[in-house]
Amino acid sequence: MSDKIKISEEELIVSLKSGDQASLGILYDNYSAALFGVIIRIVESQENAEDVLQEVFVKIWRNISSYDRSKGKLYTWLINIARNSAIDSLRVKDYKLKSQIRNIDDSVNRINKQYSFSIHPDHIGLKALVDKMKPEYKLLIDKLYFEGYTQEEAAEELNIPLGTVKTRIRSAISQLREIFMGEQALK
Amino acid sequence: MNTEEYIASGILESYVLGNTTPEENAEVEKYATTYPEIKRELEAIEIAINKYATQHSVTPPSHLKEKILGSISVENKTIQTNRESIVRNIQPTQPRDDSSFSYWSVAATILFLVSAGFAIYFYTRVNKLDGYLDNLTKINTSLGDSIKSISSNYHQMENDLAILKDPTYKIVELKGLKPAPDAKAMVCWSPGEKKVYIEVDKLPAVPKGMQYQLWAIVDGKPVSEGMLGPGSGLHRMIDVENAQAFAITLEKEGGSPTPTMDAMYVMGTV
Repeated sequence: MSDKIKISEEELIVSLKSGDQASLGILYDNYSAALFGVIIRIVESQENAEDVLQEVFVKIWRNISSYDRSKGKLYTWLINIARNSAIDSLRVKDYKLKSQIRNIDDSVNRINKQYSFSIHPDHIGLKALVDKMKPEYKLLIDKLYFEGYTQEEAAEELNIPLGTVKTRIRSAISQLREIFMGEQALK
Repeated sequence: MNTEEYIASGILESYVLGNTTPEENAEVEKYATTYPEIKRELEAIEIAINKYATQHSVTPPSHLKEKILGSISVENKTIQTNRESIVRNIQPTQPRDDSSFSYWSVAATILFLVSAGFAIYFYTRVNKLDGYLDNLTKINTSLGDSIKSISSNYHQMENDLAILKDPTYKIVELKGLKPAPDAKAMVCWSPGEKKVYIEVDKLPAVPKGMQYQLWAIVDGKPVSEGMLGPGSGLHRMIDVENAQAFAITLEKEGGSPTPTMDAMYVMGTV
């Protein structure tokens, strides 16, 4: 993200809260790719994903006044809106979330064919690093984070006890943190 | 509370992943504000997850930006008309519907936030202005003191000038004698009004325990005219009716009944 942000996050939030529409353009430039990446993994159709992205920006615009910086980063807040909107759109369309068995690699390949990835020099190296994650960790984080599974649902889906889900989440994120820390040390 | 145990429980990870209940969210947020180590841990988890999400970025089609920003701009313009139509659509017999209720609560919240913003803004302004006012008051007081001292100097000078210009006053120049050939002083004396004023031009510094004393020579005899104080300008001394000369001697503090002749510094005849 750092290669795109031209004003500080704090300034951006202040001008968004003041109702400045130009700042919404900046927000779009900085975050739309990340949000679209989350949405498309959940809804899996380009047309739906575009509709959801539009809905997400309308929600951001309407609710920015309720964003509280002390409770978390702007990025987390935005991604939560995108995730929840995407999951809601599936429910509205009466999809059975649990019956959707998606092969993540397939979906990534499909996305690759349909869209040009935004190229962030940082992220190419990062992608290779994230691939070092244990596959079962990646799978769990993707289910919980991108696909909106509850921990109980993930336990059932992956056929592991709930207690294992809980410990595995913590191990997965520790590994992610180690990977990013290693990446930073290399710079 | 044992923060290490809390961190190890994995609840912070679940929170960031969005897997927690509203009650758990409130708990995590409360602990994060209370315990810095929990806040640090939470931020580190957030950064890791955010980076993970960033890595899955997909740039949306370029035409979408204009469409989305355009629709928000249109929405903003229609808020006013929507609001009017909602008001019109409410029938007195119908219970208030959900959408208008949430609209009004949003409007009330916005109004509250705007007025809270104004309140904070004006509160800080007032505090700032209070500071300015204090400073101005201090400056004003010090200016007032300066003016008082300048005006008192001015009055003194005006009085001095009036005496110097008055033709009934005789100006007697007292010239330096042997102990201080450079010394100089001036006496203004009005024989008619008997008033005597002295102005010291130049006299050696007074040693400790000593004081200059002015004398009038009346019919060959010295008569004390009083002690010289500090300060510049003309100083009124003891009246004298008939004097042929004036002189200043250095005496012990408080003065002497007769002048010490070898400590006479200046003298001048009328």
